Amino acid sequence: MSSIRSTGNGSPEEPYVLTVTSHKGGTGRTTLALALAWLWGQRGLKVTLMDADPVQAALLVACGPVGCRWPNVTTVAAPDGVGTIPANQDVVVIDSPPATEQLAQVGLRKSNGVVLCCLADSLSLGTLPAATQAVREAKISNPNLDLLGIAVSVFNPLDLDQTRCLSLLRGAHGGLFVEPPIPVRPELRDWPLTAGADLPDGPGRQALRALADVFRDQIADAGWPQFANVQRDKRAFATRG
Amino acid sequence: MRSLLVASQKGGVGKTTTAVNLAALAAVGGGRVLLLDADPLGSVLACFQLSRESVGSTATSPHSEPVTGVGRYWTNVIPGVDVISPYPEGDTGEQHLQAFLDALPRSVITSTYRLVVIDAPPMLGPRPKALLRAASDVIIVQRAEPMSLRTLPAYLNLLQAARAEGSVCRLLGILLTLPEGVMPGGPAEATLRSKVPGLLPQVIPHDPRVARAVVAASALVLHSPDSPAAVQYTSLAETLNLRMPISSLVSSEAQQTPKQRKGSANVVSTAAVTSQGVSGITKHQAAPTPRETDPEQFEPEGLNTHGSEVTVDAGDAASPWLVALTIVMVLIVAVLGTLVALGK
Repeated sequence: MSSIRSTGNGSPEEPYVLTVTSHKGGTGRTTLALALAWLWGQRGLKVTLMDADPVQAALLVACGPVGCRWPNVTTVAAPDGVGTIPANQDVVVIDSPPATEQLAQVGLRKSNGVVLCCLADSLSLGTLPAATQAVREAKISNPNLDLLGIAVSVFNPLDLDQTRCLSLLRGAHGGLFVEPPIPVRPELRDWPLTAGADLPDGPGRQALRALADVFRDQIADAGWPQFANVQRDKRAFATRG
Repeated sequence: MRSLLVASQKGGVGKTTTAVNLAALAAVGGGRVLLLDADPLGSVLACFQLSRESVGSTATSPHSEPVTGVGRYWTNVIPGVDVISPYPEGDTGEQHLQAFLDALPRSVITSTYRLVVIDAPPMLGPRPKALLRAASDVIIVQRAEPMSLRTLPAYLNLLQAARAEGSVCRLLGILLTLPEGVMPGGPAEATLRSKVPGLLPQVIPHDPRVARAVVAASALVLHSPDSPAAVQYTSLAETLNLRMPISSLVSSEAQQTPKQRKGSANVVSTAAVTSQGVSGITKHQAAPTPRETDPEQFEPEGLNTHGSEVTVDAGDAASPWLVALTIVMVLIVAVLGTLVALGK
């Protein structure tokens, strides 16, 4: 597992390219990609949100009648797969199809980092290795690809099956799991109802903000100065308690 | 041989669970059923703890499948149901699926099985389109939540494109599944049912016993036949005529009413329906469709709708979710109406 992690060698002129993917559908990957784009845009980073899934669900959420109005966020539709990475951006967040798809491999080869989304259920236990394997394959052509971590989504802490699965997943994949899990929340579920809406406030946003800070720290530590300059959000520490 | 494609543009909606349970129920009716796992992720295989690796001679060791010899084949995974993955070990390239589908009509499969249930990959692209060209029937599984429903038009576009390329796959309907925490029979469900033609009568509730059946490498309808979701799947198998021998299916031509046949002539230009989701549908609304008023006009072919009742509560005052979703649904109707007309 440690072979998946590597250190980057970022340059101030280049955007950090982050692929958000999963091993199967319904794991909250589009929600996470959208949230990271919105949160980092709020922090002043110049973000491109690239929708590389043929379904184009991310752009359905991010773009209102006159396009995306989120501060500092530009959107790019890439239904046929990731093309040219835009310049003059701090970060490109790619909403990617499942990592096992050929389309996802195209994006992974152009990415600096990848986040895997996962559910705390038994099917995830069985099928997650397919995604880590796909990341390993991408690293053969792209040795600098860094697995930032595995994020658990749609999590219900009152569900004993899920809490048990989460313990098993943490045990099986060690330090790869990032905290906190993203809770199942009605406001996150309803986010796509209003095209172009901001990330709704609530416990979901708090958890997503904490994750965004975890990833931001990792990217800064890997040598990307645009992330090191982002002001820390003190509230994120309070919610981790 | 009949082939039922269980499809969706979005993952995590209950597609694989539906395919597995419908296959299990169809097998109870007699005759062998084939469950084809067309998803490169192999969700059906994961449900039954099957591996494409050929190791030793254990009960879960696969044979080579009899169509191309390349994929994997397990017999009697659940009673009366065999499972095939068209992909060899370590390679999930779409060329394997295409080769399998090309060879299928002339293979021994057609005389061995009366029904093939196909678990599609939850996405758009060449694989789902190839499946739409190969299957005789399709149901689209959708979860009753905005991300799933707002992206449904994308799958309908794919179906339309497949039709333009010669697919004769019949859209039997849309199966709604409920997310955790949403109870069956609520006001949102009633609104969806009145606004979306082609919604199947059954609604699959969230059921933790589904996960437990997976842990036991079994199907819910066998593992917990009295659970709420199992009861709905059992009723759905009746509606879809899965337990009947193929000769009892009425031909689509004979089932059409004069109104429906007239509707087929009013096919709206496919150019009006883009893959831009809601914005594309908005532009499309100007053209009249045969479906725009009466949901009761929709009589899906090959379905047994007798005795299927949906009871709903009177409902509370409309929540914002309900109101907004209603607007989305009205826009989806325009697209769906086109496809229902094409399906006749």
